[in-house]
Amino acid sequence: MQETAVARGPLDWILDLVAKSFYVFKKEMKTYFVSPIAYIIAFCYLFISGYMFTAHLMQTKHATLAGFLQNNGVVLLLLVPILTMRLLAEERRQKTIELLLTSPLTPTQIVLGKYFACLGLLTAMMGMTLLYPYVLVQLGGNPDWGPVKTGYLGLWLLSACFVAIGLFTSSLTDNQLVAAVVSFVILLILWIASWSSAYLEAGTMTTVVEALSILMPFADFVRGLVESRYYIYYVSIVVVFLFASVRMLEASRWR
Amino acid sequence: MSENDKPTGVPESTPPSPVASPQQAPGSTAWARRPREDEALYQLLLVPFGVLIIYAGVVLWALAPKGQGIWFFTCLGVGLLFLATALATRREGVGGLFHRTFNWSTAYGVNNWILILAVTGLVVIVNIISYRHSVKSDYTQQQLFSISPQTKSILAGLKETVEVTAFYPDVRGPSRDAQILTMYRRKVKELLDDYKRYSNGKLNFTMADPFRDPATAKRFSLQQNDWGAVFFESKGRKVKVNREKQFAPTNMWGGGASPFKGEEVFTGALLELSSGSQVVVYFVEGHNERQLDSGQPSGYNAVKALMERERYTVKKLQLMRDNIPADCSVLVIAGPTRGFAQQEIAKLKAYLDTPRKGALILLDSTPQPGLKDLLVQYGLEWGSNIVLEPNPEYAVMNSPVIFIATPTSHRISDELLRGKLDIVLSEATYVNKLAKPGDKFDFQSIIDTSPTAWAEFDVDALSKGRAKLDPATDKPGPLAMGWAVEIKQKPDQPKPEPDKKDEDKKDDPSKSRLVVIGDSDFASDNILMTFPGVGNRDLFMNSVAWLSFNAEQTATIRAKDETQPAVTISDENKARVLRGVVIAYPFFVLVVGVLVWFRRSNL
Repeated sequence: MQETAVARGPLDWILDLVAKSFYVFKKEMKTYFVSPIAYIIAFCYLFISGYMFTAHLMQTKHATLAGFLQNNGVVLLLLVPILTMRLLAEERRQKTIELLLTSPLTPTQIVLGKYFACLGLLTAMMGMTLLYPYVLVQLGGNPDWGPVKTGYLGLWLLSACFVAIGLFTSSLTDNQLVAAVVSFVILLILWIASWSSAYLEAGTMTTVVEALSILMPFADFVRGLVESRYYIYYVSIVVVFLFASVRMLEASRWR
Repeated sequence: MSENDKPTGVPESTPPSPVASPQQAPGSTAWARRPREDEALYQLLLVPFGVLIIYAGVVLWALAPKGQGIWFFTCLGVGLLFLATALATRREGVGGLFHRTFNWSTAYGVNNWILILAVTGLVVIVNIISYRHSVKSDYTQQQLFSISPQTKSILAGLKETVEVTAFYPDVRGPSRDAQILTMYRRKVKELLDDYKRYSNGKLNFTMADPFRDPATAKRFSLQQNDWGAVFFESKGRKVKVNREKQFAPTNMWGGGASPFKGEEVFTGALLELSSGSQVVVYFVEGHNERQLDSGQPSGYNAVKALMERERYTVKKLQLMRDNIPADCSVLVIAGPTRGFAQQEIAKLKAYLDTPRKGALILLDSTPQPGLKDLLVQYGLEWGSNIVLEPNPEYAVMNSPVIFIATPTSHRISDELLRGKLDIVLSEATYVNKLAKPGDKFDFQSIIDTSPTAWAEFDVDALSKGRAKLDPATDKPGPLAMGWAVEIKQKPDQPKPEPDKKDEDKKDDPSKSRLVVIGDSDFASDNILMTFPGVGNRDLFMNSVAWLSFNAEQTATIRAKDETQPAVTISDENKARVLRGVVIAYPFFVLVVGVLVWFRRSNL
């Protein structure tokens, strides 16, 4: 076959990546918002979050979002696998994956578009909880805004990791339930990794296990204490699982 | 190979057709051809380099002391990455190595997973490096997780090496005691990590387990129940800080957060090591002053404990009977309600006219003979008055005599200003600065009332509930409620040799100092317990530090108040929050969803 590709610079490649990923992003967002899916999920999320926020506020009478944010991590642990399970598994089940792969889109563009669409939905849902700090202020509270901001940043980074992991498990199978369960198990292991350090002897293994915990950095974000390694860790999880998703999707071409 | 095994429809990554060319031997495929020269160069460089790096890692691991395993893992990661890249970047992919054994799908799968592992390995290395070079940022308003600028300055100025040994057992397990111990150990270690970071290599520390390392425990003569003790050693001198001083003992096992006072006591220990002597503070007795050990809410028990924790030596002094000792750095007269005799005033005057001496005088609304006259000599007029605050924004508990005063810019109050900490005063009195106090005094206000407050001089009217601002007799706000006075020494008096520390901090050693605050309640146990979040104790401690000419302690270090800001919720608001946040808000989103669905289904 004759080589017809035109030599392009990295900037062109990036622009092409962004533009085509955006097509997938738009299509996914449309799927969420023209069907009741997004609204039902947002309703469940806001109902549980609102209950947790109110219960914590009534119980402690503290002008803080620490309790709400900590609990919200657990809500995301349960919610994200449900959101991500369909992303690629559904395409496989309905055989539309072949259409996608034979389209001018590359697996990277497909994965990024779907990833940011799901993350966008979660970001919108999290944005709706900004009502809670407003409520605190209206009640005469004066929360420490530093931990509130870092807490939300931590929650967003956490959900970015969760979505990447969920997308990866969705790329492994055409069974949505399997994707959700595997995703939940991976998230749970990363969540509770720090617990085992209480039983291990102090040493390298404890350090490794604690460093793997996805919970400990998040807890520090909520407290207002942020270390540079936390950003690296969260971004690393996203990069590894998105890369793995791309490779799995690529593998679909020759399976 | 069956036709089904062939990859389809993927031009970019499709491997060359495995159909044998006519020139090749029977049974061979395109995979079997020799790699291109650039590919050969790849393998030529990457494979041996990968192997060499792994080998170097093993050697480093064998030679390096314990705890240096990081280099082995780094070398292993980089070496494996080189090997993986060499394999994965083959034109045929790793599949080229496996296609004879497996089918194409399996060969590609292997290639895929090796690539994923290679990227994971790279990410792990980046994370290991970031773990070891992590930078901490504290976003809390009170800087709960940061050491104070004062401690940083002391650490940066360390001239001798300080060795710190902390005896905390490393206990693991699910029990509550073990978890609390782990938390305490972590807090101490994190703090000492910060101390080490800011000491320019002058401070090193060891976390020793007293039960697993009995030799070290014996070297420090550690008793069995002495765990948690932290020893600071320098030039053969040793300062011990018990665990009771680091954590509030009442909360040790009783649940709830125990305030960690590590920075207070550790920095105090460093100061003691470097200075070699403690500042001695004398509290004057004999005029019905506030008591240090009375146990009464009006007493100064908490203040005394604070001072001792910050390594002041606190003593009492009967001024009528005894002379003011030479080791007295700060003299405190806290709320006298009886007059001073002439001989006492003479002693006080002699003391205040001595360079590098300081006195803290806390006054109430009834002037006492003797002391009143003494203050006039130092440019201050103590009249019979009480300060009232009608503004509900500043009045506390709806009482005009309990109110909030705000700190002004001075070395005593700068930290309060930065931390936005207010002062609560109760039944305070205004001390006026004389119009012409004399050239040898340098006055500066340290706390002010709001403009709406005033000093009511008609105390009878106040007791009858008819107090109102009379500009002719009363003094309108804002009022200076505390004065910091520097008294220049007379020229004929010999000047002491300034020490290096004072030169560094630009303290003039030829002066004495006086702080007068128009309230003695503000530092009482009662007020400190009722208003724990305000800056009263800081005002008292900073005043003492400034008076002691101890520049490093001028802004003293406090245990961080980790109490969350409270919010008051009425029953009505409770119901509103419940209705709005839990019910109305989520259901609004649901209704929008239903409407969208209806609209779509009717299209």
